[in-house]
Amino acid sequence: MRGSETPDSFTEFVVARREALLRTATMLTGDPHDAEDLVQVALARCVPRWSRIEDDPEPYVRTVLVRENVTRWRRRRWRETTVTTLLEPDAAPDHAGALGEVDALRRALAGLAPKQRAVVVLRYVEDLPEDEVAHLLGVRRGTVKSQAHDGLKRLRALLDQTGEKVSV
Amino acid sequence: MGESDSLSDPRTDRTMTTPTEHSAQHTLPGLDRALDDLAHKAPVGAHDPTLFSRSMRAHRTRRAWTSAALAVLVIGLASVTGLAALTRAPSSIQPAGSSTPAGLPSVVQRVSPYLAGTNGEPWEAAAVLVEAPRATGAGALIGRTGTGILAVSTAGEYRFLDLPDDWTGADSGGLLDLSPDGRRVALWVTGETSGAPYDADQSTVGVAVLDLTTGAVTRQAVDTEHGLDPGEVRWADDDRVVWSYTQIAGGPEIADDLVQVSGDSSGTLVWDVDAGTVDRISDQVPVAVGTERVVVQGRGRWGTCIDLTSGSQQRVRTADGGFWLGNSEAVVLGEDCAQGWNYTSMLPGRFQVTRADGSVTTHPGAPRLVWPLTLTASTATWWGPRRGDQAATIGRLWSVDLATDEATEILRVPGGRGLVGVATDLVDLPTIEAQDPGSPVPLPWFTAAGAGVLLLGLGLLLRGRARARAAAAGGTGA
Repeated sequence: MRGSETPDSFTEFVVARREALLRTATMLTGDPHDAEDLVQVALARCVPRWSRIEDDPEPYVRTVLVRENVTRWRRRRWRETTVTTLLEPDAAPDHAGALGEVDALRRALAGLAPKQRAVVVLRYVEDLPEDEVAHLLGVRRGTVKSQAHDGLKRLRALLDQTGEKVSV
Repeated sequence: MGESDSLSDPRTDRTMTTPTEHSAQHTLPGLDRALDDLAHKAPVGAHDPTLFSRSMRAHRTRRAWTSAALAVLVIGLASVTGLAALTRAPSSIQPAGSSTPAGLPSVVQRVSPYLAGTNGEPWEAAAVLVEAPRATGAGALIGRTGTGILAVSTAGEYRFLDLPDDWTGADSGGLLDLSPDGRRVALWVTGETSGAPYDADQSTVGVAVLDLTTGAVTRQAVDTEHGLDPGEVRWADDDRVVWSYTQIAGGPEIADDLVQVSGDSSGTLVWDVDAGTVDRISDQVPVAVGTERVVVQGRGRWGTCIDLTSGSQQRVRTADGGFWLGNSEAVVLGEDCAQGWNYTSMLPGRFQVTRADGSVTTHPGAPRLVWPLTLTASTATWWGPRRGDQAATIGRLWSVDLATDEATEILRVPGGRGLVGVATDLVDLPTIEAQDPGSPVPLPWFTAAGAGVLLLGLGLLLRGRARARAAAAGGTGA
């Protein structure tokens, strides 16, 4: 392992991909602050292995990001902390319509189990193929398929419950 | 996507609809856009340029503390385990010198429940066997004890006696007997039955002899369908075991009705252990066993005394008229087929001798007894009082002059511990000073030390994590 001096490849990667990682993290956590923290922790966890992954760090970083989110969710649940923050709307929404849609979706996503949420986000937001999602989550392809199906079904049901229409 | 049929991939179809029955009211065509909107709510900000160095520092801190914790755990636990094994190893007890004369110890001392066992390895002949609290198995780690058999060798060394795994156990009626020279122990063993076993876990199927000096076990199994009801197993001399049993006539369904459904009796069997032969010398069961003699049950108060060497038989008055049937331990058979016994009850009582000619003498001046061990024309030795007698907390082996009833204490066992066996060849020899049994460190101490090491290791791990967190947050982590 090299010294503590930040390698250029790390800086380049973070500068280039941080925003994308933050987007994924936001979808996974439902909260911008949590998302920032999650990305920070995921990157920190990758640092000791950076010399081994620097040629193609993205898959490893995303794997750590997704799995760390599941771990954090379990830890929170164990501590009986609620996820109400995930459900609160933004303080200053851009406009009423957007607030309704985004907020309803955020609530619905928060209602999914973390792995299911990860499948939905990676498959339908990140548009990753099933094989890659399976690799990232450490599950079989069949599991990704069923989780995606069940996740969408549940998402739909949750959106129905909110009564908030996600309009065009 | 299976039933999602109506929920198509937003990336490919760009529309999502609810199932058919709800599609009219619950169309969700904007899910993909909403997902994108939500994704773009993500915060935007410059990355932290110190992240890498802080993370590396935290990683190194965590690794150092984890290594320290592992070192503590490995070295600590290995030390504790090694010390525990070392202090409990039989070799920690000084072996008796070859010049040490054989004899009974004058006192059987209290010993640590953690004293080493014979463990099936060659040891020495035993002078005396007594009950004693012993810590074995997992319970030993927390100081739980059961009843063990403490042996004092003819050279005065203390050890717990480890019997073969298939020993029926004292609770299952598996009496055992120490040979007169103390070299061997005869006992009942369990095993496979040809039919449904009377007791699935503990069906008795034969007898065995454990040679303490070699650790070898010789078994004499009996063909049995349901198991055996153990009768006698007694040494007639140093090589021959007199034993008897009754075949149990049914399986587990008769568990509460043994007496009524007992099957065939073995009669009296004599097993010459070295020759490997078993002879049935009588159809009747033994009621008294002595040196090279056995009295088998006859009619009424009469029995037959059989000389095992010559085969000669003599009609004798039995000591108890059948009361002690199946409990020959309560009767000692002496020279000329005389029988000595406790005529009062199983509790300490008076010693009575019934001679072959039918004459009976009692010895009211002698100490009370429970278990008669040897009988000659002039002296007798017996064990008593012991547990069960309210007044006695010390068991004693007495030698009594039958002419005067004067008693001499041969052996003392403090602590209300029961006698299991005595090498009767030694009762007339001078007693010896037994070795110090030693004081093995109690296992719970090691358990506590191990728990302490584990806690220390855990503490180091937690400390390391805290330091690593501090380092990650920007502290030194040192």
